[in-house]
Amino acid sequence: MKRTLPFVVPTALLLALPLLRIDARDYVLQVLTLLFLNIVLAQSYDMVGGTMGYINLGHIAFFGLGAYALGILYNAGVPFVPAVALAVLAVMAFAALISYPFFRLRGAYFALAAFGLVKLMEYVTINLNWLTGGSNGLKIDPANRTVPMYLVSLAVVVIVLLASWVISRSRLGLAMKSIREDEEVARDFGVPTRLVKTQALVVSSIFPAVMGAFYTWYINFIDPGQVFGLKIALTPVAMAMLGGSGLVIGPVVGAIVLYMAEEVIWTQFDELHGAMLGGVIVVVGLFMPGGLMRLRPLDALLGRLGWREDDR
Amino acid sequence: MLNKSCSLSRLGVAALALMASLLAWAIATPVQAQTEILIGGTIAQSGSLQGIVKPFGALGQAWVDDVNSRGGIYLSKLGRKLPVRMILYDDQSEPPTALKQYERLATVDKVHLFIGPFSSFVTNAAMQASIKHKIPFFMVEANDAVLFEENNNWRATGLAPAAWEYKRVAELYKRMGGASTFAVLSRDNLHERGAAQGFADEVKRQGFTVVYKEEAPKDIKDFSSIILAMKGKNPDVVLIEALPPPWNIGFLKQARELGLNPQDIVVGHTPIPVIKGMGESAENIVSSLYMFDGDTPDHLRFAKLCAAAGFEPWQYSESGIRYRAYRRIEDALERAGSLDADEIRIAMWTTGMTLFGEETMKHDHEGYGTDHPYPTQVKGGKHVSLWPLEKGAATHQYKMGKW
Amino acid sequence: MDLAILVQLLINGILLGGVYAMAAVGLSLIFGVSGVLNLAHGEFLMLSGFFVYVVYDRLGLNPFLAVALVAPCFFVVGYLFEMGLIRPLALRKEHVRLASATLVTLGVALIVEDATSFASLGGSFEKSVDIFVPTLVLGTVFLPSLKLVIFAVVLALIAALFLFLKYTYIGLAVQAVTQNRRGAVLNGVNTFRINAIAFGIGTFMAAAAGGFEVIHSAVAPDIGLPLTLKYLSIIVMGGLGSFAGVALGGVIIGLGEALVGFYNPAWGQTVAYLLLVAILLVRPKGLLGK
Repeated sequence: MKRTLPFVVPTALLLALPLLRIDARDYVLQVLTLLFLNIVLAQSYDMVGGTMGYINLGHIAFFGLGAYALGILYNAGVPFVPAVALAVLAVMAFAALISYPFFRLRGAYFALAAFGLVKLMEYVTINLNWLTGGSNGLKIDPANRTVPMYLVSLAVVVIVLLASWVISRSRLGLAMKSIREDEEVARDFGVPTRLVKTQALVVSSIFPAVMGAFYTWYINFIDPGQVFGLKIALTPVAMAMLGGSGLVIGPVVGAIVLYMAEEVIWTQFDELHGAMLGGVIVVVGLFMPGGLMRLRPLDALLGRLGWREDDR
Repeated sequence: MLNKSCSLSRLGVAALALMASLLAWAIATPVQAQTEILIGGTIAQSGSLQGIVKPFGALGQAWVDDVNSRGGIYLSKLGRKLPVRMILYDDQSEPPTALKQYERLATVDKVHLFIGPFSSFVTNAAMQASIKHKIPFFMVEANDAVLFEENNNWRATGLAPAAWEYKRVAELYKRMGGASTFAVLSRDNLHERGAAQGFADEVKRQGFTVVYKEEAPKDIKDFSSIILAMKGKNPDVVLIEALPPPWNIGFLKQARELGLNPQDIVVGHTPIPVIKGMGESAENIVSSLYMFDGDTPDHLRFAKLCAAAGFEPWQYSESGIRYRAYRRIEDALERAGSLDADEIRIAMWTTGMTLFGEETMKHDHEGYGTDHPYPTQVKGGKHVSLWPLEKGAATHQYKMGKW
Repeated sequence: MDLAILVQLLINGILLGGVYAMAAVGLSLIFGVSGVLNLAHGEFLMLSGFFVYVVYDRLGLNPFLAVALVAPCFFVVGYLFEMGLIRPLALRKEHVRLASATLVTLGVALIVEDATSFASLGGSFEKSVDIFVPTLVLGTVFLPSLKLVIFAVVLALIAALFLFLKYTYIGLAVQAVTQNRRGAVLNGVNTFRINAIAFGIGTFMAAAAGGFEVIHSAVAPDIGLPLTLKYLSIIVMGGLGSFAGVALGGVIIGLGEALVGFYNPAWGQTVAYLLLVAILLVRPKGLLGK
C-alpha cells in the first residue's frame, strides 16, 4: 500500500485543485492540462517505443485522428460521450489496420514510415475538405471547458500510468520486451510476435485518441497543422527518452521535467527558447542513454522503493 | 524498512514542493494598483508564424514609449493621465499556449485590455479568456468569418472581412482597363483562401473573368505544374496570395523560368525578401499594403514607431494593422475615460475616428471594422502607393511580361 | 493531354527529382555508413543557404562562386559534428544508439533553426539570391538551365561518389563499414574516421543543395525539418544506403508531384507520402534496399 502513496497523495491534491479559490486557478489548471497532455502522449508512446523497441515517430497520428474524428462526429449531431467513444474506436481500428503492414518494417524504416504517416495524414486531412473543413480548420460549439478538461486529463494520466504498470507486469509486457531484445529469438520461442505487436499498437493508440478527442472539445477549433504538427509529434518522444524509455516511471518523469524546463525557459527568457530546448535534448541524447531514471542515484532510489524494473 | 519509508516521505514532500512552487510561480507577479493602463497580449516569437510578426513586440514597445513620453493616456473619469504598460508573451504560434497565456494575463497580470495575437487560429483560442473574464479584446491580425460566428461583445477589430482584402486592387483594374482575364492562386491556408476568394468574387463583380482559380499546399516548393496549367489559360493578370515570402519567391522565380508572362502580376504580400530575391524582376509587381502615401500625422507617427522598432513600414506588411490597432486602443480608452471593462468595450464598438487623413473607421453590428489594404506597385525596389484611385491609375504601369 | 504539355511535365518532374536527390544522397550516405538518421541534415542545408547569401550580399561575390566557397566548409562542419556529437554514442546498443542519435540530431536541428532566426533578427528571416539564369527554350519545351545544372551536378556527384567508393582506400573502407561494421573493425578500418568522413561528405552535399536552394528559391530558418523529412522519405523509398535508390526515389517523387500536381495541386504534394507508405508496404526495405 505504502508503495502507491507517492502516487495517491499528489493525485488527490491535484484532484482538489479546482476547488482552490484564487484568481489564477484556471491558469494553473491550463498549465497542468498541457502537462498532462504531454504525459499521456509520452507514456503511451513509450508502450511501443520503449517497451517494445519500435520507435514510433507517428504516434501523434492517433492524437490527430482522434481530434478530427470527434470534431466530425460531434458536428454531425452525435452526442458528446458516444462521439468520444466512437472516435476512440475508430482510432483503435485504424491502429489495428496499419499495424500489419507497418510492423513488417524494422528499425529506421519503421520510424520513418510512421513519421511519413503523420505528414500523409496532415495532407489528407487538408485535402478532404468536404469532410474535415480542410485548411479552414474544424470548429465545434465554443465554450470554456478548462475545469472539465483538467479533470479529464488528470483521469487519463492516472489511467495511462496504471495501464503501463499493468502491462509491464503482464504476459503481454514480457512478450513486448522480448521483441525489443530480439524479435527472431522471441518468435522462435513461441511468442506470437505479430499479434503482440498489433495488441501493443492498439493499446497505445487509445490514450492519444482520447486526448485528441478532448483536445478538440477544449480548444474548439483545430486545423491539420496543429494536431499533426512536427513539434507535437517529436516532443513526447524526447520526453520519454529524457525520463527513461522502457521504464514505467520514465516518460512521466521526462514529461514533467521537460515541460517544466520549457515553461521556465518561455517565461524567463525573451529569446532563443527553441535553442535552449534543443540544448536540453542534445544533453539527454549525449549523456543519458537510459534517461534520468536510470541515472545511478535515481535508480538506487527506485530500488529502495521497490519500483526498479528489471528491464535490461 | 526505515530507509524505505524515509525516501517515500521524501518523494511525497518533493511532489508537494513541486506543486507548491508551481502555484507560487504562477501567481508570483505582484498585483498592480490602478496607476497604469495594462495591455496584455501574445505575439509569436517562435513557431511557424514568427517570420511575419516577430518585430511587432518591439513595435508595441515603441508605441508604449511614445504614448508615455506624452504622459500617457488621459482618462477623463479619473481626471488624469495614466501611463501604459504592455505585457507580451510568446505564444509559439500555437493555440493552446495562447489560451494559457491569455488566462495568465487575465488572472496573474490582471490586464485591463487584451491586444490580439497573429492569425485567426491563435486568436480564437485566446478569445476564450476574454469572454470568461470579461476583458475587452482587440483583435489585430484576425478577420476570418469563423471568429464572428458567435455573438461575442467582448471582441472588436479594425479589419474588414478577409474577402475585402483586394477590393481596391480590383477597383484599380476596373479603372485602368486593358485587362480582362484573371488567374488566382492562393496558399491553402485559412486567411489566404478567404482573401483570394474575395478577389475572385470582386473581379467577377467588376465584369472580368476568372480563368484559373486554385489553392496550392502551404509547403509546396515546386510550382512548375501549376504554372504550366496557368499558362494554358493565358490570363492577363495573375494574383498570388500567400503570407510566407519563400512561397512567393518560389512561385515568381519559377514563373520567370518557365516563361509565364502575363500583363500584370499581383503578389498580395511583397515584403523585403521578395523584392530583394527578385531584383529587377520585381519591378512593377502590384501588391497591397495597409498604408498609402501621405504626410498626415498618422503617416509620420507610424513611420517613427517603425523606425524605433528597427524596420521600415513597408518591410512588414502587417505592421500597418498593428498601428491602427494601437490608435484604436488609444481612441477607445480616451472615449471610455476609465479602466472599466464595459466602458472600454462599448468605446471599442462605437468608433468613428479618422485615420491617415482620409478613412473613417467604422464598426458593423457583427464586429467587423472597415480597414482593408491599398494597392501598391514596386518601382525602383520600393513600394509606390497606387492610392487614391485617380493618382494610382495615373501611376500604375502594366508589367507586360517583363521580368 | 497535349503531347507538348506531357513532355514538359515529364521534364519538370525529372529535374525536380534531381533537386531532391542532391540533398538526399548525402543523407543516405550518412545513414548507410553510420546508421544515424540525421535530423539536422536540412538545417545544414538551410545554414549553407544563409552563408551563401551573406557571402553574395556582403562581399558581392557571384552566387555560384559563393556556393563553391561555402559548401566545402560544410565538409568540416559535418566532420566535426560527427566527432563531437555522434561519436560518443557509438558504443551504445543498436536501438539505444538509433534513439540517442535521433535525439541529438533533433536537438541540434532546433538549436540551428533558432540561432539562425535569432541571428537574422532585425533583418528579414528569408533570404534569396537575385540571379536569373536564362531558360533554354526548345520549341515549346522550357528547360530551366539552373535545374539542368543541378541535375548534371547530381549525376556527377553520384558518379564521383561511386568511383570514390570503388577505387580509393577510404571509399572501400566506407563500403566495408556500410556492409559490416564489425568485420571492418576487425580488418583494421578506423570506423570513427570513416563515420566522420561520411558525415563530412553528406553535409557537404546538403550545403551544395542549400546553395542552389537560395539561388533557385529562398531559405528561411524553418525550412530545415520539413525538408529533412522529405529527404528521409526519399531515401527510405529508394532503400536506405543505396545511392541509385536515392536518385530513383527522387525522380519518382518528382514525377509524381509534377503529374498529379498538374491536375490537382493539393494531391500533388500528398503523393510523395502516399508513395512512401505504398512502396514500403510492398517492399519493406525500399525499392533497391537489400
